[in-house]
Amino acid sequence: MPSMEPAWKQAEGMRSAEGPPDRRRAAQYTVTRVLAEADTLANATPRILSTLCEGLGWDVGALWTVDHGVLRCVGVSQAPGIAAPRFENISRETRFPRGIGLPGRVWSTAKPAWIQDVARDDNFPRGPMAAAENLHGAFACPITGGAEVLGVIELFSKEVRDPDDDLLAMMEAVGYQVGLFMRRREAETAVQESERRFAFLAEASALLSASLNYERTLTKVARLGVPTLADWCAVDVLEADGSVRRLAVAHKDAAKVALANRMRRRYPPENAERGLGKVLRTGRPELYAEIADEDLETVAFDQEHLKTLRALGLRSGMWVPLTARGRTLGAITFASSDSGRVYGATDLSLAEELGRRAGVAVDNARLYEERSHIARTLQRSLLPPRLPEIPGIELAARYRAAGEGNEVGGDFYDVFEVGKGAWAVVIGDVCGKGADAAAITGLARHTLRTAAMREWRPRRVLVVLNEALLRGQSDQYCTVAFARVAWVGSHLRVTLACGGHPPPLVLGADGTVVAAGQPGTLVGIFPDPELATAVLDLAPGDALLFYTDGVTESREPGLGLTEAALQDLLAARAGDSAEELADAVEEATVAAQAGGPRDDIAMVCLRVAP
Amino acid sequence: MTEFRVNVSEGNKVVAMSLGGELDIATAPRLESELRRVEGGRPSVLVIDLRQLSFIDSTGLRLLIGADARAREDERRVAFVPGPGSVHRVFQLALLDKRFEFVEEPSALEETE
Repeated sequence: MPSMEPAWKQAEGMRSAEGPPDRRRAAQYTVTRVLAEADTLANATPRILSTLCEGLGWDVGALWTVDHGVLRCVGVSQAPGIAAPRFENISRETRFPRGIGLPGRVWSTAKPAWIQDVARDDNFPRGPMAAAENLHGAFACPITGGAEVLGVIELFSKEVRDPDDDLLAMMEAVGYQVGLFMRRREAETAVQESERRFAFLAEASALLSASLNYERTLTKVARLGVPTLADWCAVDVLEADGSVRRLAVAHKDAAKVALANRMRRRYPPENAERGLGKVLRTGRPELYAEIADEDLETVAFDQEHLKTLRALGLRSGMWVPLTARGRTLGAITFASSDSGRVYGATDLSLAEELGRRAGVAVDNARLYEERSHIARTLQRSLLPPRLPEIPGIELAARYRAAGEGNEVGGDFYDVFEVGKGAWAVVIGDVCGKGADAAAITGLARHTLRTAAMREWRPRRVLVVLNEALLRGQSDQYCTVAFARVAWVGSHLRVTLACGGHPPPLVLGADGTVVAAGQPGTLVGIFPDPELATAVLDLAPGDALLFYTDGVTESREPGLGLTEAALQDLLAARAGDSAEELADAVEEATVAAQAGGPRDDIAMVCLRVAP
Repeated sequence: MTEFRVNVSEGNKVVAMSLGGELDIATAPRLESELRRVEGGRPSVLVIDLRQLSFIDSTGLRLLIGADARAREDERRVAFVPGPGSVHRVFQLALLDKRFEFVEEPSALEETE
């Protein structure tokens, strides 16, 4: 029974064998099959219409669908041997509102309509073209899938036709079937659209969180938007001085991008009443479902600008703000041109969500940058800008903060004059990292400097610091090694006190290495610190190395420079200058801590010039 | 996150906390919450065993100093079992080996109580 012949031929065969009612049924059956096999209505329409014309004995068929408030023609077909090009053209170009013309009245009444002779109908705008092609009889029925009218199917004949109830009934069924098809396709498309949107948002979010370089990521996001969401995508950010900077603009045609950029340079958007300028000012999104020429006229600054705007071919547009923490940081522009895409509420909410996520990304990146800047500035301010020049003494210092760029370290050192021919050398390590530690570091250095001016005994200086820290708010403590050095003849007398700090190492000119000083209580915790004073004399060629525990720290046995290894290293370098010694220790420390230092490293090396 | 372990065993009057791995600024919060929990039970004796500790930094040290200070206030006895050389050195440098009570073996305390 089923054969490989085309539908209309089968119907033909059946027509000759049986009467008209069976031919109609055959046509209906064919339409059902066409719909079952088709992927889009546009693809199915020609076959549907030709089947109906052929099977039902009419000459021209047209199919219309409701599209954004008007009926648009999806297709026109003729029966074999019939030609009606002018009528076809006018139908394809016409848009019918409700109630106007044959399609319009069917849409409005939701019922089929029959016209015996269109020449005598007073609501038939295509009359002249129908007359030119000698079309007279017409009827149309609604395409419904249930409740509302989704479209209209029309059939025309060169003969005047009387109403045929049976035909109308059959066509109502066809209209219902086509309607069901449309609803199903719409649902599938909606799901696909939804999946596409979701995938886009997920991909954009991944891009945004991948890097703190927001300029690069936003450029990528703009490119991602084309063509998924738009033909045009642009990202603008508000700079601190209020100016608007265009970060990115994407379009598949590079020439158009260049055009848009030129236009931006000439006509800055800050002053615009609508679109980008308005969004930046209000922080609220703007949707222009259909960009009419009047809209362009409103935003255009002059005729030249208007011409360029028209050249961009903008059809529909959305502007969404980049927002974070209640502030507008910029805006993203989405616009369609060639694709003819029309934006609606769902598109806008997707775009808004993207604007929020992108805004947060920009905000985070800026905060991080700001914080890094503050930390670096703070860090710089906490270290002595340069070591003093002490005649007859070589001085070298090293500092490496172990944390990320935005973390201030807790190690500190200082070398300063405390009297005629006397200097103080300090090294310390504040518990912790970050702003709290930095505050204590600042306090410690300042307190040590002032105390050292009044007290000449190192032990007393540390007691003063201890009291200052105890008085303070936090329970932070620090370890400190404080030494006062002064010339006694050709020797340098070192008076030293250590509070919980690794003892400095003395490297004699002869290569002997000895730890100087006694253990002492941590500074800033207990009201009764136990601190001892050590005195030693350095001869020309002798060196004294102060360091923090970051140098000798080892998390794993076997890794890290132990105190013994440090002593051996120094012993092997008797005769090196202070700078050379500092270099050697720093290199060895970094090398020994494979994978990077976990603690700050600080050291001060002092050597009596030989 | 560096590796850090706290094992708590609660005896009659003695609670023993055994620390293992690295105690530093990242892992200290875990010790702090355990300490608070254990101290909340008001044991008469707390032993903190550092033998399995491979590293301690100033944040960790501060926590233990805090535990010792609170014990004095609450009239609780707190004793430490020294960790390996590099760990104990930190206490020695700060004269904490004199200030804190150190014992060789945690079980020694069970017997005396």
